[in-house]
Amino acid sequence: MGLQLKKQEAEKIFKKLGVNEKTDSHHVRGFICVNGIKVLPVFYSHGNGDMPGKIPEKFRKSLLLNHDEFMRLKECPMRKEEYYSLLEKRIIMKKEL
Amino acid sequence: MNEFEETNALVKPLIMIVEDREDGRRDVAELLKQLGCAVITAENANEALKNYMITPRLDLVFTDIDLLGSENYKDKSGVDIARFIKQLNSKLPVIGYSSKFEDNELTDEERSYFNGWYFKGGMSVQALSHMYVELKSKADQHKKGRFDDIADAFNILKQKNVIDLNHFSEVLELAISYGTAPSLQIEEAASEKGYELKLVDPKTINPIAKPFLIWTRSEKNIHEIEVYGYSELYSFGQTEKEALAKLLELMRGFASDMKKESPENFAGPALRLRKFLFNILK
Repeated sequence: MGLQLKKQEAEKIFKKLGVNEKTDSHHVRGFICVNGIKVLPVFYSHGNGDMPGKIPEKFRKSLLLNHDEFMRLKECPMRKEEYYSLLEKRIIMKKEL
Repeated sequence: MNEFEETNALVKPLIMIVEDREDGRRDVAELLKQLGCAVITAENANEALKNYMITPRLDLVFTDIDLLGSENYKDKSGVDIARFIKQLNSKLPVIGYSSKFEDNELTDEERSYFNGWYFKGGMSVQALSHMYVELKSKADQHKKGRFDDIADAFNILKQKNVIDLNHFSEVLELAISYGTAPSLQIEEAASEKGYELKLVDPKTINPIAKPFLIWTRSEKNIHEIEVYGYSELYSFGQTEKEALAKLLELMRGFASDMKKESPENFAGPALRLRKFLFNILK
């Protein structure tokens, strides 16, 4: 079975990461910021129940996390500081590539 | 798309014309330049193959099939060029043309070395339309912008009544869109997972100014779409139309947020997305 994710879980992740949210009729969107600079556009859709198909995977990818890291973020062991520490390394790595 | 590809997408398409007649070379080269292409020329197969070997950035080869230009003998040196190139690098598109050969005068094997051809008597409009749709849908969105520029230039030429070269230009448009298609390996891998690549056309979708590509996939009555090259832009719906409408709403939302701030406030994927949205949306 693939990754499962509910809207409420995405909502919690946004709150944990301090995403400044904006909404339209279908989405809640915002940016992940590093040192005040917006680096990752992220969003989730309104709705109930599990997100369909590959949507949870796409949400995970938008946060630049692998499956295990995302599960830790979703299920709480990963704190905000750890996520941003991982992200900074990844953004730097991307620049080097 | 990495920085190298982005830079490369801005470079003019480089096309090699292989034509034995000097006036033909000059006319075609002039037209190509007006269409926004860079051109190198060769007058025979040996020169063409030498150019091919020393010019890795070639986007397209456009070759006369009969390169000896004899009245009584139909030469097929152009086929040899296409065969050689295909044996080494099947991705470089080669278009053949001839004012001497009829459609049925090349064998299936000889034709298989070409990505397209234009024989004496011309292609049928139906065949051309079919090919156009097929190739257009595969075009890479960044180079698709370049294709549009070429199409604009072509329209200007039409207004100048360069009528006898119209068919040439159409074939050229096809070839350029084909030559800049996303890597076939990516397409094949995605296709195995149920994804299909489609073009979002500004002619049919109002809020966009330029075309872009999306991956589409449907499972259990849910349609998922994702913008090609921008995995952070995705959506779903009970129909593809609904998914696309939601995606466009999201894109407009992000664009609106970004418009209010200076580019210095963005970096990495967000900055890249900003450039894309400002380019695509009206």
